[in-house]
Amino acid sequence: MSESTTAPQSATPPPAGLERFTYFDAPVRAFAAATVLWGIVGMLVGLVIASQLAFPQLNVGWLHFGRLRPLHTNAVIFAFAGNAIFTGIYYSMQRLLKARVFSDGLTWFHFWGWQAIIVSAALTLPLGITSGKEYAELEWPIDIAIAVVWVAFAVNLFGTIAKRRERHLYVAIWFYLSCILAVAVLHIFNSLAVPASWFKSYSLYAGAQDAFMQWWYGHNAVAFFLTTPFLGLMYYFMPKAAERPVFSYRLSIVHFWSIVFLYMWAGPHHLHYTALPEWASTLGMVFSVMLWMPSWGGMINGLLTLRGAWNKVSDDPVLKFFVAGVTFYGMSTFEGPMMSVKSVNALSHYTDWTIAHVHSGALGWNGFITFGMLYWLAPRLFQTELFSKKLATLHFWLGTVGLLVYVLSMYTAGVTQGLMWRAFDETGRLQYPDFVETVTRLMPMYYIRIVGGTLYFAGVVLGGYNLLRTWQGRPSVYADAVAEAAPLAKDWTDPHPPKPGIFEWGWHRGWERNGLVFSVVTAGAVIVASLFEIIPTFVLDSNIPTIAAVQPYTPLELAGREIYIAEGCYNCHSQMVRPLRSETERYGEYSKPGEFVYDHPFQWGSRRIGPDLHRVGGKYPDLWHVRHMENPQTVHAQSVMPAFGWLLTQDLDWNSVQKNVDAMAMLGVPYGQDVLAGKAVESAKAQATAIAERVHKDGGPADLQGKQITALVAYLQRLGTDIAVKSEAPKHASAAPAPRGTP
Amino acid sequence: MKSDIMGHANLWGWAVAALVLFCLVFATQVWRTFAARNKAEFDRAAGLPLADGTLGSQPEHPNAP
Repeated sequence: MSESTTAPQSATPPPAGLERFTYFDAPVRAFAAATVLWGIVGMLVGLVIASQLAFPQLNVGWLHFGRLRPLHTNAVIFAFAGNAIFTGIYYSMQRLLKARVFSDGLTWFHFWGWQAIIVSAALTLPLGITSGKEYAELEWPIDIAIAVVWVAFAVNLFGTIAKRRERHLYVAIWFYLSCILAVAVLHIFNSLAVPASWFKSYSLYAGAQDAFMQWWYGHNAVAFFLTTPFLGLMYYFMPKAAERPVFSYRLSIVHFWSIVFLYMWAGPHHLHYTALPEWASTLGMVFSVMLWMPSWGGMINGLLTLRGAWNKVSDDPVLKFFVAGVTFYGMSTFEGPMMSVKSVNALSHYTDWTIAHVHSGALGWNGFITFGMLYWLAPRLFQTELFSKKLATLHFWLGTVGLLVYVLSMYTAGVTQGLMWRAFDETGRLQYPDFVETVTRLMPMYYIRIVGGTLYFAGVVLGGYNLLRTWQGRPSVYADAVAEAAPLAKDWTDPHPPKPGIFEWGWHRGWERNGLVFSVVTAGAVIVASLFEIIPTFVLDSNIPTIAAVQPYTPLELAGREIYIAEGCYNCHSQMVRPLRSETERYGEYSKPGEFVYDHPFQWGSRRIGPDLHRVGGKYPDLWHVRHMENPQTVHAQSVMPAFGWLLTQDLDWNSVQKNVDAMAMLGVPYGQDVLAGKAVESAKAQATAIAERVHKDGGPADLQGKQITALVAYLQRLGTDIAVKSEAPKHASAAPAPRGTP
Repeated sequence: MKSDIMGHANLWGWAVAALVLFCLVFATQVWRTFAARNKAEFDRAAGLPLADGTLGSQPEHPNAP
């Protein structure tokens, strides 16, 4: 991409002691355009999947909820919010550092590399190419590409810091640095996997450890991808829009360090009442509650920045977006700690309450800050007036009303479902034993959600149109943004030097002026907090009671598990029976950590649109599963589950069976010689034949032994059955059961 | 299930260490941030977004030797 710009002003030399330079805004324009484009795409997919839940017949073939939901989350988080972050960072960092971006080429590499990653995600996820880890679904070649592009981004930011003309690193730069460092650490460690092929890999971690790593990543991706960079944008763009400095710079410093130190510890609150250590769960809860204070400190700091300028809010759509965005930040960061309290979490987890929470954050906080920023930037980037302030105001109101309708319907749905799951009648039995009852009750809320989502989406489309028309009014040649500043003097001395001594804080002041040292300290805070969490979890490996009855999946079950992951079943079904009476009554024995030691990756899930599946094995005949997958409505007339009819007609990929088993063996899964050395396919075919014969004998279709459905049935029938027939025993129990072999 | 693990792993000390570490760092950071001697520097830093060096809104030049 290239743009015509005028040459830097050179008619008059800069004043003595100053350097004249230009800012590189062409990629900022490109990132802004990508933000709008991917925002529309991502939210449109969100509207589609919301409609699929309300009207299951909209699940068309493999374009069903399970495959499209990861596309929606990835598009909104990494495409929409990601491009928004880069837009704001490339614009603001140059001006805060008073330096042109370090490398024009790296900037364009960053832009096109990121767009290529997004396109790759959009192509692979609907095809079922996924790692099966929520918010980290992309397969390993794309993960490597993300790391490469992220390094380019980091080099660009650090390089710009190195050539800066402003000695003090403004607090927004701190937030950007924390984003770059933390996301790199999170992405690399959570994505470690053993490839089985170009499109399939297995997480290095299994079961409880994988869950811990995943939610360490997932929670902190919210922190350092959706929070800290947006806080940086808030601390830059709100003062610009309000034309006054931030209310309290000191408070922003406390805000930064509190967020950096606290967020990393809070991840385990996503795993309350699961097969996770109690201490980790409590640690996550306590730190989550503590997060409330700095978050609200930041919110108050943002809102008070408008002191004396509130009269502008009524007239300025930019400030409207910022005020609403910061307010939603406050609301969702109050709600998050509240939901992390175990007793609240017992009700809210797996329900639409979580969906309401994430959308108030993503659409309210990230979305509104983004649109406020884009409306502020548009006249400056396109060097013309905003096409229509009225349309921008209409966008704001459509977004606000739509979002409120959306979240209120989901709060209602979440609390309703949570209460129905735990309701007992006067005889002590579950009041709603049929899970589908708790889904059909939500349908009115799902209809209302579509209305809210449509309103919000309409606002985004209006915004896109407004920005497009603004772009069309651009000059034929952009004028370069020219600036002047003095270079950093090498012999500079602090006019107010601190007294010597550790408690005089000269060392900290030095950090703030040295980007490298500051980054090392920030990274240290992030890494130390991570290690405090992660090391004990891995130490626990030797402490998790191994259940001798738990054996690796057979080759056919493993193939079925791949289908389960590819179809995105984890988006609607959990595999984690919590130790709550309402759950053990409904599903059976609560889940034990030792049951997941061969689960690469774990499939505990985070939402129950359908029932938990951890104890589904052996609950129904094979034929029931075949009929259910072929057309769920023939089994449950009110089911909202998509039909997976092609599983009965598509052949199983036998070529991948041995590769997948070999990859699992590389991870330490103890497969014996009966399935290694090329015997996995033979084993899988034998088990498939047995299942197919049972199905046909019971009156089902014939000749299913080579079809995908047999593998999926094998996997589902295995779930949770290991301890159903064998009592839990210590690792070195003398009476170890016979290994579970192939049929 | 929690007792399955807790019964075998006496790791409560990690949580206590985490809390103590955070409290110490947080307290020292707040102390430093609100020290009176740093007020002037932070006041100037707060104005950085409004003084980006672009011609027409020329900032002060505090880095000049």
